[in-house]
Amino acid sequence: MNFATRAFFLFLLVVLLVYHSLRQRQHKYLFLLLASWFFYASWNPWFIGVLLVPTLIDYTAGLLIEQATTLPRKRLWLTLSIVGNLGLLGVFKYTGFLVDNGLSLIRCLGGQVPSWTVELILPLGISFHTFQGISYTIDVYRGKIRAVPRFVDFALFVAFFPQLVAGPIVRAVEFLPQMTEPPPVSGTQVIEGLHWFVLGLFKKVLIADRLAEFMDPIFQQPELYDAATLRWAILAWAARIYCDFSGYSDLAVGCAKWFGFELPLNFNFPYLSESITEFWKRWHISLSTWMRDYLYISLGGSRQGVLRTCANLLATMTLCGLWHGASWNYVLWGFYNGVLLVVHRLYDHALEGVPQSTVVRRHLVYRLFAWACTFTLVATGLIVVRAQTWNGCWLMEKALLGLGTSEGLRMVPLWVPLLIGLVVVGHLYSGLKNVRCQLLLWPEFPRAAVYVMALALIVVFGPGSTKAFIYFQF
Amino acid sequence: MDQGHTSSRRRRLRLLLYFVLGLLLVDGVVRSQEDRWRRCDPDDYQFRLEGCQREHWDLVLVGSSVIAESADPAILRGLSWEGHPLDKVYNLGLPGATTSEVWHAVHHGLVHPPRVLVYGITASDLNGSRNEPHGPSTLMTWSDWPGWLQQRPDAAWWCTRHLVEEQLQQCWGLYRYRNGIRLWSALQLERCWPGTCPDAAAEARGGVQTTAALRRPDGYAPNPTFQTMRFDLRKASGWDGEPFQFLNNYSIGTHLNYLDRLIVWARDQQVRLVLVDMPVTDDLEGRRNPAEFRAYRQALRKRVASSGVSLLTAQRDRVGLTNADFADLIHLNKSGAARFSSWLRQELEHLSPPGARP
Repeated sequence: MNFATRAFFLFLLVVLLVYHSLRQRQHKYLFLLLASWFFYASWNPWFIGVLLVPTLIDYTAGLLIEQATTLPRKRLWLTLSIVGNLGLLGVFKYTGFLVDNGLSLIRCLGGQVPSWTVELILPLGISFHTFQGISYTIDVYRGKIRAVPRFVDFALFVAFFPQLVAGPIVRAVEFLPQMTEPPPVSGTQVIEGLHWFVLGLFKKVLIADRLAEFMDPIFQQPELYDAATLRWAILAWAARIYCDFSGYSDLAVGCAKWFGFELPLNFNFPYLSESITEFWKRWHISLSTWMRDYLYISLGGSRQGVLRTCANLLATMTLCGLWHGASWNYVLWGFYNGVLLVVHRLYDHALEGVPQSTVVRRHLVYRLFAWACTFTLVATGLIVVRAQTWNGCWLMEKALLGLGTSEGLRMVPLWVPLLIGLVVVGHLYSGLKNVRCQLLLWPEFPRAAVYVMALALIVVFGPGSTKAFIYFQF
Repeated sequence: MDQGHTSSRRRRLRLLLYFVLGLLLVDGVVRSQEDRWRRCDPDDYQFRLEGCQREHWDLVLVGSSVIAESADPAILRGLSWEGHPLDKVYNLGLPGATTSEVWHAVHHGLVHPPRVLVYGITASDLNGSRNEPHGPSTLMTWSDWPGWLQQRPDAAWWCTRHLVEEQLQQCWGLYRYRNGIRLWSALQLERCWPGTCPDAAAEARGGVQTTAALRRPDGYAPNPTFQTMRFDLRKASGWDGEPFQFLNNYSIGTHLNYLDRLIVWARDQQVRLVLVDMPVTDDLEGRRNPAEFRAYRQALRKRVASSGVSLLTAQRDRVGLTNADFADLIHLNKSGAARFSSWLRQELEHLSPPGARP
């Protein structure tokens, strides 16, 4: 059940009506849990097992960690929880990748191996809910939160349907305190819920899905097009992936508000970043902070010298790439981002204490240059993820750097720059003023008019069949 | 403190109120311009039904696309029936329709019962595995729903779903006419800035042309592509015909119950019902689906025998049709339609009660 479909709207309406008509805490949460499980099972009933197993493991591990009186015991239960979650993730997400590469390696070494491959269905959102479970047991281990005594509460924390399949990755410390009593829904939440829901739909249905129609064929066969069209396709891809994923996060935030829950911010105008470090503080925030808190810091963070810090950054980002997808494209993309972070860190380090460096770095010309460099570097990485072949990837990279050919088809409909322009305007209008969304500050009448107009545009100009969210595959 | 709280609550309520009013306003504007959207994105069932409802017809031809393409009212107009000419002839052919749709079109479209009702039927009309979504969405209302549950319990859930979807769509004009608005906008944009959305604009222009054809007073709007196509030439060029899916998983199902209802309705309204077993190519009935056509004809003859309704069998050789008169496996082209219509006119005049013939 995709978010931007009639079936989901109907499901949401029914769940909201029943949830708010129930009075008792346990009834409300039990109903919401069952609804969330139904939502998950609607993709494939077998997925429920993949959700239930880690839920049971983490719930039990949390209780055992809290009850354990010695550190080794606590560590044992924590290890079991982490191994259980990562094991499940590994089996479903990486088995095929490992087997394929293992067989290829044997073939390269001259070995005789059968030509079969392993293909397992990847359960939706497995990367998200397993990370959520791991963060819970680690937080219980670190004493940041108490273990949840009621299974229904814990299961709901893992399965809460607005964020179940594509995040944001909600931390137990953020969500569980909200669950003490069913939070009452305030008027502000109703309005803000509408705001984020409409904005999310607009980004997904009108911008991301429409841009997909333009850029998909170009990425499929880039050799047919001239460099200018390829550059537009790269811009469209950057705008699309942002609108697709942040659109999903907005929808999740909006839905959660209608149940009285607050979900964390996941995107903060990432394309305004003036460095790659800043980019990762603005893009998929719930994942990057998860990686920082549970992996980078656990590896030693920046406490053990420059070399070790660089190694930690590279390892964290390469694993972050692998988390996104079981293919060499993603591994390379993660490693590439790790290298960029290391270079930026060393650059920062080198400039520390240099006179006038702060003044220069605050100058508008320097900031514009830094922004242009950052965006180009980010786009370079995004091409690696999306390209179908390494040859196509090279063609796109050349076009991005202004080295492409002027021969080939030129085909950029008027609406492509228009839609990309909307993303730019959104970034400049709200991002530069450092507010989550400037529209929220508008007077009621023009704001309502914008919602009506946005909804009308979504209904009329959205593609007939909505494409699945890109981040579902992760 | 309390005052501030109350005023912020009022502001929030005001926003919601503006939002709802805005939606209603947009809906009102969209509905007031519905003809504009419908012209770009025509619903042929609805246009034909409306055309039929507008007047009191003497002779109405119903059926699926086989009748929509083949029966030319201009040729049938003026045929003599019981000593009087049938001057007002309407083609209510509904592409893709089964007998269930035909019944609902007759039930809602024939406000004034005609003197003669010709139903051009073929095997696909009775295929129980087929359901045409246009039926529940355009031809049916809630008052037809209990009847459907009774007549076609096997497709009860399917019908209910489509009926509910349609009723919900009707609540929101913007959603209902979204495709028409999109096409109309494309047409306007393309006029101002050529090359902006050529595909959508071409689709809109096609829609406008179809609308003009569907609004012809006699309802006859054959597909322009079929008009010029010739099945014999296509076969000679090595083409073997596209898969004909309308006879897939063939079973004489509950559509037959609606044929019974049609027969009863005609008797009650004192309308002379004539069934015409429509001509199809030998490739379809002789080579591809002989068993399906046998089952269909057997069921049809049984019904005709028990009800006493007239049946005209439009075999190819009787009508004088060859593959040159067909556009594809089942549809007649322009010359085929002319030949069939003339034959039908003759046959109907023979059927006219003898005492009353001039």
